[in-house]
Amino acid sequence: MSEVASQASSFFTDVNVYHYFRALLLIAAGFLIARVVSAYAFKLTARFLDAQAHMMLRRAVYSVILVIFFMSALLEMGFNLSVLLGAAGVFSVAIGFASQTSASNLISGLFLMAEKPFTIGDVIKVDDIVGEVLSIDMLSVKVRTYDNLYVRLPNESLIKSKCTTITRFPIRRQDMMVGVAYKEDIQKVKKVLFDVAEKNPLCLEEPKPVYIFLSYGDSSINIQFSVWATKTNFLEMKNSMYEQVKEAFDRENIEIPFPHRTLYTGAVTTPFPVELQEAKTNSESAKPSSA
Amino acid sequence: MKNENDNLAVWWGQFEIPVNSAAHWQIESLKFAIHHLEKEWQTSYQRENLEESLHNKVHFSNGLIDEGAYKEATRHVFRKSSSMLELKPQLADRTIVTRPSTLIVLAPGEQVTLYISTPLWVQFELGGKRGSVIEEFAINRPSDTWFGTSTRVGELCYASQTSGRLNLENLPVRPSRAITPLNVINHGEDKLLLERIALPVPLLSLFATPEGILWTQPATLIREDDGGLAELKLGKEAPKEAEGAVRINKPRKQPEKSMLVRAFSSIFDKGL
Repeated sequence: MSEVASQASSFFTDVNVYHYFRALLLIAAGFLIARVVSAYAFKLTARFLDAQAHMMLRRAVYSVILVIFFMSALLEMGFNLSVLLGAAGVFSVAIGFASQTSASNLISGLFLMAEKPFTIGDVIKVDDIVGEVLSIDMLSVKVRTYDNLYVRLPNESLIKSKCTTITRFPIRRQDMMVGVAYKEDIQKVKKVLFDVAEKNPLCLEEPKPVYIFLSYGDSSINIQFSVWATKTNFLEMKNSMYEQVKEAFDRENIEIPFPHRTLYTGAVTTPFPVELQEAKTNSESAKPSSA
Repeated sequence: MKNENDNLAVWWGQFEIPVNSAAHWQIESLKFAIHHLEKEWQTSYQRENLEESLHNKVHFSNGLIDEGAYKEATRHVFRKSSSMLELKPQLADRTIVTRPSTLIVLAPGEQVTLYISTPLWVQFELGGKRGSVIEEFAINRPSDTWFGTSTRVGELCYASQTSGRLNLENLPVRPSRAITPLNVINHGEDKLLLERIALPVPLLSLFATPEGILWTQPATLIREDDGGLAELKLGKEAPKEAEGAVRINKPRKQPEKSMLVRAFSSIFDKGL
């Protein structure tokens, strides 16, 4: 019994335990201080930085403080840091080979951050994904799509593929494709389109709507009518313009034709057999009375 | 007591609306009503298409509200509500872009006075010590427009439906619009083409003459360099053309003594 007690006391009086305890305290204090300082830095710089830089600053402050405290803790426990750093160098080469994808994402992330094609809150379109940017991280960009899904886009694919920032500029243009029948008066159609744009308050007066006669289509004359709106009202303007153009065409008796198909049997073939339904029913109904 | 009035010259002012009664207005294409319930004000409005026949139409009646008559209704709830309500005209909440009726070219050192008519909003303000605007509607919602050097840089404004005139007699006076005398001085070295002019109306106050014509204080735009920027100077009193006018509403934004604003822009036809 006394042997156990003496062992325990020697363990607790051992210098090592004291150092481990201090190291543990250092790490705990590191977490606490990193949290407090990064939160304070976040609050202090809110007015000067954009959302992206702001978030990065918070993370950088947190990581740097934590690393400093962690290294102090290692020193306290008697590790030789220079040896550790050397080993870390060798390790990093090995890890680099093993995790090529992550490394490439990491480098792509740095390029993305420097290039700044979009910031947090922007709406982007990458391939078939359209959504609002939630965060731009070292390995990936997180996006919330309009059907409320959380999509993680690897930085490497963002660097490689075509990425459109929809909300970059304050105003946007909607290209409306309109088809009208060949019999219509084009000047009248043009006037109706411009009148609709003028009466719609969300459709910008300047830049002016653009009217382009596109082509003689298979079954209609194809016209492009491009109108501008602010990015916030874009969807509302698009819906209202399509509705109002249809209403105005109906009011003015301008036909929006369906695709037409003309069936032709050729000059040498016999014509299509045509049966006159109305004549047949008339003759049938006439029979009983004559009988 | 039922009170009706058509073609009022002065449609704004203070109204007493007891609990469980309502007041209805129509100013041109905008029909709006306010309903006073116990501890609650209900505002509603509906907009018709603005036809020529509706120009200058002003109608007021009080009585009970017709529940189904309006599409948009909002309830404003209070702990205690007084029966006094003030209806005020107010200028637009964004800069108004206007075009002169014909292109005006201003030689260096010259100046011109244009009369610009801008659209108005109606505001409901509750009485009491802390008078507060509970609701506002545009009488005729103007179209949005972009005013700037490119489609990337600029400001979202409203487009004025009427053009600026050199003679006051040519400017139609309507209950839904206020007139601003705008003096443009060209101190630049080249001639100034007045194609589109931006007037920052949120900085202007509103004045009314006894005949019910609404004015703002005069504004002066001084073009110093050859760009689209100009120094804006605002008068303090009603213009001399508005005899006996009194101030009826304050500006939305507090103006500074002298401001540099983007006031002139040529039309950019880089649509493609």
